[in-house]
Amino acid sequence: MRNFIIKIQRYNPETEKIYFEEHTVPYTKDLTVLDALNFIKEKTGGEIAYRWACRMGICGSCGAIINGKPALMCSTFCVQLKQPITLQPLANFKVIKDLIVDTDDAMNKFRAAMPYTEFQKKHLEPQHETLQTPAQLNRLKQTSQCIKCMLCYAACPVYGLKQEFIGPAAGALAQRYNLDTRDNIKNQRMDSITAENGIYNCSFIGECSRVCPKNVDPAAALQKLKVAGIIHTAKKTAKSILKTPKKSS
Amino acid sequence: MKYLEQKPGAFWWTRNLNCLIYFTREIAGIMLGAWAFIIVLAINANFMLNMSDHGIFTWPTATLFQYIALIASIIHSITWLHAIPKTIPLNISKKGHIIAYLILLAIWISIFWLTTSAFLSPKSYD
Repeated sequence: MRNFIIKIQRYNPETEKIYFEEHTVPYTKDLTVLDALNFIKEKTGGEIAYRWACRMGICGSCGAIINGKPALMCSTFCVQLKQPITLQPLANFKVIKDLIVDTDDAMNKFRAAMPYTEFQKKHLEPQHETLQTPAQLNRLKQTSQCIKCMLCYAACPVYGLKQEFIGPAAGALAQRYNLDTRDNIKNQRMDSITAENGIYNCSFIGECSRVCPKNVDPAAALQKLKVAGIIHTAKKTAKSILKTPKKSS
Repeated sequence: MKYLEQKPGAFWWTRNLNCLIYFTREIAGIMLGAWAFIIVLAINANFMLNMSDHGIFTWPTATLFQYIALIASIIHSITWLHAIPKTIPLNISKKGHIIAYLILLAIWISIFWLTTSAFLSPKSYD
């Protein structure tokens, strides 16, 4: 019976050493990369550091670069991968230890997308239901599937080169709330995401959409926001021109 | 204790085929810009009537440059037409994207064919 060979990138913040460690895992048809890593961790006495929780592609914590591509370890089967399987921490983020990265920067960028509705802020205890039709829900369903796994940030070269960029998931999040019929703060959100480091920094490489495990398609969301952003800015400019009082001669 | 910084290298665009296509699209755009700039220069210098007899169009590399510009315009157009359906403010499926791309491609080929055939037809030299 053949085995899987797993090469893991290790980083020790105390010694600042980066090196690859090779492990062998017995072949099983339904073995995921996360299962293999758990097996290695048990065998080696728990030295390798990595994040995981749900094991079913929901929590978005087990993201890593698997054979050069960002993916969730729990949703990737070893049999589908080229041997040896190489595991590295998510790109574009600072590595804390081994496969654990610091995602605080990207998480904080979500604030710029204002991921809430005015309704929720005003009426914490609503008196009546705010119903949505299935058609209204369908409009935002795709972008609402984001699990904040940060794979899109790891794949985005723009974010890698310019860390101030708002990033793909924040764009998808903004689009999700813009499409929500219950939302009343679209204008403020558009002001926020069209700022200097906002959506216009996206150069439409499309890597974010290719690695998204939930088919959210952040690249498309960002392009739609760019179009909406231009309309928003044009409207704002026209309004300010019309409001400016004419100087009396 | 120090966190390990990770930044994309200078050759990040070679990491996969999609990045390479993106980079080719952008480079082709630069080529188109250069071509447009030369045409503007030619128009300003009133060379258009007898292009082949004057200035930069008589350089030995001029024909090669025109061919490269033509290839660049084709690459740029095809890759952009592929990207455009994603900017449509409608929720369309992957199949819808392919259909939209094929329609745009058909329109582009028609325009390309009509303009080139009109330009190259013998009547235009009468």
